[in-house]
Amino acid sequence: MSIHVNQLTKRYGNFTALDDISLSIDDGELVALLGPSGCGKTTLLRSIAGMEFADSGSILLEGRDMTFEPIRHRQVGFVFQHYALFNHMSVFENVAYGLRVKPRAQRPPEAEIRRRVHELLDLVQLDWLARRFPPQLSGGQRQRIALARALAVEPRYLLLDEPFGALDANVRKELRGWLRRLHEELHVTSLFVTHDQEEAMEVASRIVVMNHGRIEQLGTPAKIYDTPRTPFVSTFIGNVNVFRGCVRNGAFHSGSWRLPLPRTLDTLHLAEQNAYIRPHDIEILRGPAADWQVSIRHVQPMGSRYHLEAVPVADASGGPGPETESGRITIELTRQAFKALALDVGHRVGLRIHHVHWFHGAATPQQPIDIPAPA
Amino acid sequence: MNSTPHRHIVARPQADETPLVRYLLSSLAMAIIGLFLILPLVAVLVEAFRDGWQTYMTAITDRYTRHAIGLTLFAALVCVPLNTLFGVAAAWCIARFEFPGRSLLTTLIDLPFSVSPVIAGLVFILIFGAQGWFDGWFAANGFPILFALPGIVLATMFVTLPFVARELIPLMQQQGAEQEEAAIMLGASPWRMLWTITLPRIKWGLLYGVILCNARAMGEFGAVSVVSGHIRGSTNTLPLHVEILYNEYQFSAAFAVATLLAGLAIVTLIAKSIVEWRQQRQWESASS
Ligand SMILES: Nc1ncnc2c1ncn2[C@@H]1O[C@H](COP(=O)(O)OP(=O)(O)OP(=O)(O)O)[C@@H](O)[C@H]1O
Ligand SMILES: [Mg+2]
Repeated sequence: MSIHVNQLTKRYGNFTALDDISLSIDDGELVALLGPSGCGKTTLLRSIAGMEFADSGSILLEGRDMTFEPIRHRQVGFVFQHYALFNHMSVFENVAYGLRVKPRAQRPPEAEIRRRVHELLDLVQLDWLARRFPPQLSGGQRQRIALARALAVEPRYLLLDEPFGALDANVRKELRGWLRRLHEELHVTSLFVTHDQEEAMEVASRIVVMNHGRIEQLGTPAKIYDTPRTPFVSTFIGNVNVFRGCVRNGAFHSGSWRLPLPRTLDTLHLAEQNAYIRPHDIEILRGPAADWQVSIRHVQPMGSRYHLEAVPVADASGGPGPETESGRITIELTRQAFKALALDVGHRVGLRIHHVHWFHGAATPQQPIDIPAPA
Repeated sequence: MNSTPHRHIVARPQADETPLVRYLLSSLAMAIIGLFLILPLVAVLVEAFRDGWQTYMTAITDRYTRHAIGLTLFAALVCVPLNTLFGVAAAWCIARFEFPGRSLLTTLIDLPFSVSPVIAGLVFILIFGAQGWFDGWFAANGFPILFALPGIVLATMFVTLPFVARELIPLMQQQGAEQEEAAIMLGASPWRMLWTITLPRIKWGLLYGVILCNARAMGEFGAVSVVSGHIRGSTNTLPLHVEILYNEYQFSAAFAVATLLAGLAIVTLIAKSIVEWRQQRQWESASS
């Protein structure tokens, strides 16, 4: 039950909503579609479902070209961004709808419909709400009913458009774990939209990152986080410090500061190069073995971790320190490390960089670079 | 808004009028309603029964009155279902699809509202009249349109055309297409979707439009007056019949027949408020 999207392009007037999208999803996979608002996630989902027709390109379901097939031949279950439950029908009738509208020959008998609906409502743990109407449900309950309704017709593919978009953080967390377990149980090939990166990383086996109607990167959560292919992916997935500078004489130079690179890069020369450094790839040191000196401006406890904001301090020669895009450097520490260092606002500390990644030109992928410890 | 003692009663923002001003304003409103709405109704009833119950009954069971009632009912019976059909179809097209000429269609639907009914009637005279475009072709071939039933139906159709569509277009635009798409995604045919999703969701708005359409169809005077020819017992609808009786100085009879139309108005008003109330409840539950 694979999904293949080949070079799909969709325009609204002269605005390109989908730009040459190619994408493969294997049988039984759970893939997240991630991207900023307006990047074309819903449009892509609607195109796969058949609610939108692309200007060029094709959509293959299980190897068969479905580009011009009507919706009902695609066997796609769709969960809408705003649930789209039938408000004038009870929860039971909502879930039963897909079974009741089947052609007479395929329609199960009433007793079978009842059994199936109750089974599904059990699956989403809401059987006790069968007689209620959608307006009488909470957001999370509506969401699960929408899912049960989509599953009732036993779709081969499940497309979920921001399934947890309108819910508060706790309910989202609960439903996330629940969706994951459900997927393990049913193994329907699924594609779900979100603009919450944490959600995507937690639930999906692979992530598609989109921006401006294009796919920026497609890969496992770990791969996308560790080796982002474009600056956009790097900044969109997780936090990152962007340092402006250049590479010459075996070191990365930013402002007056210098970061020695591994020996293998001795011959590399890049006139203009941003370095991307994750907040947790920066270690705080007290003492001289540091790459850079900073002053801590803000401490933000985040539960098990601490976020610090620091600004560069002038070095011995009076240089301005490294140039970051925001003017600040974000550092992330474990609680233990933070306590052990006894840090506070105003302290001057040294930084050691463990990991850098960068991008040549627009979008050449580049392995992250481990920075060697000073001799 | 300051927190006055009756804040819990009035949830709307409230200006700081003194009780006197408020009292004067509401009295004025009541006086106007009394003068322009209640008084005429009372006058109709008083005049209708001036010569007693017997005369009243005679007037409304009169052969010509019965025929006028029949004709009015017939015209409404033809026009209301046709305009309902048209209204649903037009509202669906306009609310659900983008197509060239969409805004033109929206404007055209309003045309009967902006044209004086008399002009509408005259247009039909121009088209089907003896000197008109069709040069009396229909009449010559045994199917007269003017001064006959088809003309009355056509004129009524024209003036009542916008009622249902006008009611449904904003409603369907506000509801959006998502639930309909969901039905299609679940395998429903478009026809099935129409009956199980679209119509149940718009039913109160639709009923509201139908009630208004019906009231206008039965009460229309201007356009019908122009095309009917006032042939008693043949092309006289209820409103026209009232006029004829009045012009013949049969005041009691005229007012007696008028009570029928007044009754229709009151029934319409009650039905309308029930539907409005139901619709309000549906909107509230849908947006909660
Ligand atoms: N019917 C339409 N006509 C014109 N432009 C449209 C239409 N539908 C979508 N667009 C545009 O296409 C782009 C992609 O829209 P889409 O709904 O796919 O975004 P999205 O990624 O789902 O965003 P969000 O996260 O906010 O839901 C947007 O810029 C939007 O304005
Ligand atoms: Mg969207």
